[in-house]
Amino acid sequence: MINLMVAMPAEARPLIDHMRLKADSRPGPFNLYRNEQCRLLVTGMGQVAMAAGCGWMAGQGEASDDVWLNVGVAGHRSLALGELRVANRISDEQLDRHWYPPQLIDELRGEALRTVMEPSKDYPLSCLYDMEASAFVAICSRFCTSELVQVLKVVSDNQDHPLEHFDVKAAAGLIAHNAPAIASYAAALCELGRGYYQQSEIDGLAEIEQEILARWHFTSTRKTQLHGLLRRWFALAPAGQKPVPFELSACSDAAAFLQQLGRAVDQLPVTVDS
Amino acid sequence: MIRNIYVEEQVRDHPRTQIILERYPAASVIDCNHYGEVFNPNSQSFQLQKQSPSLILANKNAGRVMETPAGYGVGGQRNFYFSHMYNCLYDCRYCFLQGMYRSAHYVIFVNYEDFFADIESTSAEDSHQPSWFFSGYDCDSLAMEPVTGFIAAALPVFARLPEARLEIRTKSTQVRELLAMPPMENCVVAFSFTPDEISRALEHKVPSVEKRIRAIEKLQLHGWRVGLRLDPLIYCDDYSLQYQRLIDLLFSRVQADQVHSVSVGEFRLPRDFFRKMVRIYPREKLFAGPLEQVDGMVSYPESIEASLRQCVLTALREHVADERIFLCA
Ligand code: SF4
Repeated sequence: MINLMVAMPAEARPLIDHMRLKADSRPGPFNLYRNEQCRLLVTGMGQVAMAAGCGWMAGQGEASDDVWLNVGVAGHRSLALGELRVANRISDEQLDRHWYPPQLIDELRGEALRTVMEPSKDYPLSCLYDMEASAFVAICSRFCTSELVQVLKVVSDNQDHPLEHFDVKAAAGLIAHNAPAIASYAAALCELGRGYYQQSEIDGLAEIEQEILARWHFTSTRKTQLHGLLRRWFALAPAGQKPVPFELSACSDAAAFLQQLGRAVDQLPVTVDS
Repeated sequence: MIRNIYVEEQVRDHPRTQIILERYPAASVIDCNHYGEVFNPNSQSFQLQKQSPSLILANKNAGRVMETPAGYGVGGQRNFYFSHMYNCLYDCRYCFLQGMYRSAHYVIFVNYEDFFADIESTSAEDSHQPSWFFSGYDCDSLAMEPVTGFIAAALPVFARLPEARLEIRTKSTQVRELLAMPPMENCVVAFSFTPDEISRALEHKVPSVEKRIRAIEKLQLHGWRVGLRLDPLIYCDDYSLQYQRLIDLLFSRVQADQVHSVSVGEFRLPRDFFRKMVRIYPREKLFAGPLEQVDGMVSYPESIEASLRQCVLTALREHVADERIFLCA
């Protein structure tokens, strides 16, 4: 599931249209739009609003395969209006902290970004300027590995078209123009996330583990033992074998079950073939 | 293909930084204050980054030459290691780097001259006995040589230090540079091996056993001293057959009397590294084998280790004298 975090309604609208998201009518503190693969939250402007939005979205806890994307407009000293960039270094001017979201998707050019408290009018450095990204990465990389937490910005003002002339409608147009590229990047990020989350799972293990845990009482030490033995069983057992090699009902309690499973695992052939 | 290069402020103007950047004109260059800002944060995935690692160019300010753990060595009394690089082009499932580091980016420390100065001063501390310097502790010594040029820069330094010994430990076949220069008495090029079937299953992206043997043949023909490293020993049901085959193959091709040393090392990982590796690869058979945890270390039980060791040592002794065989901790 992709979580698209957007500050302004004008930035959100073109993405909602392009991705065909529907408004979530449930009452809540933010405007939320969604489809099967994507949730888009309009957080409001600034770091506090973005932090609150990220926390709220994470708290919804709907998907175990979340990836996070902040999309919005930004200023830049010299890049042309409408240029789309992925932030490869995000600096928080106030905190003097930096984040380096690892770049594994080769679709967009990278650019450094500074998050500032007030809109930047004079572009002192050659980088993007925004008001939310540092809060977004600081919060989201607490609940997701940082490769899957990315920031995309569309240049909406520069030295030749300074912020005083900023026009919300024009900003929406710039996002709309980039919506296909943003959607494509979002799909690639989702794909990366899928591979990541699948790799750390073993098909069928969680189900049998739940079945076993429901049958007897396991202390936390025994739960750890159970998980370790099941992992070994699933790794070593030849394909096509049952999840566990004997009837659960034959064991009287958790200890007896662990003993039997341990013996079965120790008898499995030890090979290295993949 | 390197697509992103992080450059630490301290080395931005270093000539070696410029040379490396020129190799990758299409890469994005990202400034950082200190390499740790990129390499050390908690929330990173080693396996995701392994799909497309970036380069980090940095300065190693301290800890450039370190004493090896007790029991590591090939007969010398003074043993040190150094790492001009963190992480590796290859992807061996048993590699401790994936348990130790959060990031799979390649860190290259470009201040080679500081490493060389530390090697010289460490060697000079005791001129009565040779000091051994092991390269390839936190990386493979030669795999990235075309990019780093580290070994090419280090060899002239060791040529001036006859009392120092250099071991270049590798699984790489990048030996062109070595073949272009005269062999050095105080340098051993040490190749690591596991049996072919194990290598195919566990040593991803590593040149095949056959290719490594060919590299050894060339080096020996050229007069370089070569070492063999059977490290780590990997257990499987037919380990005896597999190791016997590997050792027979090696000694049917390399000149046994010209082999400087053979070392044998056990599979051993700190518990926390092991746990992290299992989290990354929960289906990996290697981690589902008969391993046990004792005093915070994960390894095969002593009975299995002893059988493995005995089998390998017996096979080796058919080809090499005992004094050239070393057990490494
Ligand atoms: S060659 Fe050595 S350093 Fe590289 S991945 Fe394999 S074990 Fe690790």
